[in-house]
Amino acid sequence: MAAEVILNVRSRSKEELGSAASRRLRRAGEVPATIYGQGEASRSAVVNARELRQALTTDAGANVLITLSFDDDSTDLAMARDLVRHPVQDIYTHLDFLRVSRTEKVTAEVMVHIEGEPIGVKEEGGIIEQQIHAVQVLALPGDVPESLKLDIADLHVGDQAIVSDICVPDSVEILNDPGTVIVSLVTTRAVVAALEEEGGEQAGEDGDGEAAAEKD
Amino acid sequence: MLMPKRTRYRKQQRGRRTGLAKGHTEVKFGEYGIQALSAGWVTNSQIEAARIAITRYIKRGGKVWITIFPDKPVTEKPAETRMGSGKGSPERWVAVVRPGRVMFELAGVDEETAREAMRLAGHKLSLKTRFVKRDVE
Repeated sequence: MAAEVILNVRSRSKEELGSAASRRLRRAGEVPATIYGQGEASRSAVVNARELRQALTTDAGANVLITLSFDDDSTDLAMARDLVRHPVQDIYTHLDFLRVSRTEKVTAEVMVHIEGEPIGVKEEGGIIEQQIHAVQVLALPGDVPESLKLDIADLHVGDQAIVSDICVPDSVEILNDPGTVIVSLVTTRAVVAALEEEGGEQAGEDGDGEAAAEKD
Repeated sequence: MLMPKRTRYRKQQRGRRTGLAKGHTEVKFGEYGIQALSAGWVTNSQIEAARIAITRYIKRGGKVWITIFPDKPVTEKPAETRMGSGKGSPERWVAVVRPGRVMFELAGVDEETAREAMRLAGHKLSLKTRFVKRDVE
């Protein structure tokens, strides 16, 4: 279940709004952010880049429950949303915080981790094609799982694992269509050709053996 | 080799390659990718060479996505031609790549194989590149 961290947040003054001011903040090691939700007015804020990284690298990932501690001693319970990263550098350039209530369900994106090596890969030369890597879930902020597991050990080539195959706790509801394909086991032309070649060679070897036995 | 089926205009101006990639800066389809760290024009023959390098290295198993498309015609004047008399004729097709753009993606292989395949592919491209993995957050 979701971890909980405390993050110090500073409200942004009027002079710190806008793209030029935001660039200055980023150069100073801060990340501009917007806080909204729960019917309250949105507010612009700034968080320390290092503290933000620490907060978002817990086991809960981006779905961590964050207590925003403002410089005016007020607090807000929030979750990170819409993280914007720099295209080249490994830094966050902006993020949103969605205010949440412990008693109201929220939607969150949760990663799907596949488990087990399918029979189709081990014995049939198939490859795993994962169509979607995350699903939308509805749960209380404290119940949002870190990740969801999908066991695909029994899949053969041509089989698919769908959203309804994911095991979820009772407190969590998946919002995606239950029939959406998550993983399919496919084969490639190269694999088919290689398997046919191997089969042909084996048949040829068997045939030679029989011919030799007949000669003897 | 990759090129558009039809275009509205045969020739284009060169344009600028300043700034950073606007889209496809993260691995979206596969598990691993190769990301541009500098700006440049990647020709269709370079893309093909990189694709061949990847597919030969991974042998079988694994799937490759090419996430750039050479849709810009580049013209050249013939050698030893006097200046003037109009723009040259289209000679090759290029993809305009800016820093951050993920150009190839790969899935269905282990990380070590993917790293080596992407290293080989990177040598075929006229850009600085790096190996990237899907974000698991």
